[in-house]
Amino acid sequence: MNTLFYCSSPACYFDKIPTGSIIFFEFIIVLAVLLSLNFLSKIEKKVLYKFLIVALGIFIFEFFTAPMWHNYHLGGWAYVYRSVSWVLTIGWATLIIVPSILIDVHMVNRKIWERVLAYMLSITVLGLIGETLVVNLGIRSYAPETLSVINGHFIPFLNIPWKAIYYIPVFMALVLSFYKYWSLLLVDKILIPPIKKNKIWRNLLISMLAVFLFELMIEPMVINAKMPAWSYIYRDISFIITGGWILIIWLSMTLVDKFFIHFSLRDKTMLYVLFGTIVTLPIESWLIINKYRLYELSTVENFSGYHIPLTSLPVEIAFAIPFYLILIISFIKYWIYKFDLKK
Amino acid sequence: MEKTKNIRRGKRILIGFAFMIFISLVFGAFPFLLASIVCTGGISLIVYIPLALMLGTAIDKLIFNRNNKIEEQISANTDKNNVGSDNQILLTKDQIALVNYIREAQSRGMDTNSIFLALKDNGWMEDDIRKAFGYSQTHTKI
Repeated sequence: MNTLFYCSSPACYFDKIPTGSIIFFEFIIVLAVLLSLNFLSKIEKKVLYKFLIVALGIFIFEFFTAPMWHNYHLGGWAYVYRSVSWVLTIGWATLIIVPSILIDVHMVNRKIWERVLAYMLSITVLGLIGETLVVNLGIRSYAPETLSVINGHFIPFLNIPWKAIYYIPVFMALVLSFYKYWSLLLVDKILIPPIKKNKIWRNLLISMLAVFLFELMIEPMVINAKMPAWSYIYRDISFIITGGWILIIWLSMTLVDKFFIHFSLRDKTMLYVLFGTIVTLPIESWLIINKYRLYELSTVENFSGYHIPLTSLPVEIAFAIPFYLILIISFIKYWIYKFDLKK
Repeated sequence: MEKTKNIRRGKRILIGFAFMIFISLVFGAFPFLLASIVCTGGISLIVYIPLALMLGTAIDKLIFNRNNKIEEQISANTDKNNVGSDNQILLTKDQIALVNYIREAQSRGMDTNSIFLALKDNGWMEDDIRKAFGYSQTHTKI
């Protein structure tokens, strides 16, 4: 059994010994990061801050979804937590920030949908290349629950699952929105006028899209059990539970926007996450106690064994909820900002 | 102004942390709090610091009653017999939001017309905007 200080599960004891080609691969990643930052700094201001924001977004995502895949053989120096590696984090961050900034610079006069298409195409292609490399080098492998979703369907020659064509753009879209949103707030420090009347139904639709995409992606990690059969949309995703998360997030944002209109956008974002977390934590605890929410074996193996006092929530879930909300809310707020932007 | 803001923010973070430590001691969760910071190499502070800031801000506003309302004592300078009397005008949250935006926009060099149009495009009535411009001149932030 795991504890906070001792971990005996496969999540902690795995082969970290790298091969020569993996060491070379890691060297290339670090070199690519340095060269990219140097190149980007010539065409964009404050690149390092933006890179750190992307890296943070990637790290949050990797931390949250660590049970779904494994990153082995990177060397003991490369790991931050369980099999989450900082080397892969900065690699993915570079794959996102380089095309993103290049597109912003060279397509500045294009319409937003053209730029979005360019982002997603370029980042998806680079992401597929990256995933192919880590899989074929023996770094990346998939948890049994993820393999059951993949169902043995791999792209010939690339050895990556067909579902990566879906997972990578969704993952990149969430991280890209996180980066764009926090760059606007913290680096570019844009000034957004207060909005008298929020388009609450449009915002609800955006919330639905964000939450549903994310739920589809993390579906292998959890089991939503004991729901009425008619409520299941895809595998064990129930619109009752997913709809509940959508409502909580949307209501948190709507109420904060109404009652805290005089706060800065950064402070309001923190309030969205805070209120969403305060409401979600006891609900998640209740779902776990009453066996509506079960975590897959790979997920449980990642737990430290420590629970939040007075609840039955693993401490990892207590951290995962605000992280999940930050990613989702950043996606929602970024697209609300884009739709509200008047040219 | 910026320095004062940062000092206030720092104090609120400290208040928030003190509250969190107090609650964790009451519920016997202090070892968990400490371990979650130490064992994550401080990464968990990404969550704890904003949480402490939010808690500290809430406590600061609720208990010490320091808030973002713009208050101004307007001396009755037109009435010489009213020496010592003063009026306080408290603005609504909407008005505070407008005034803060106007001030920030002006400090960034935006002209009045652009500010006016930006607010109008976001659903504000012209009358509210004009009043907010007036308040931005007469009120000081606390």
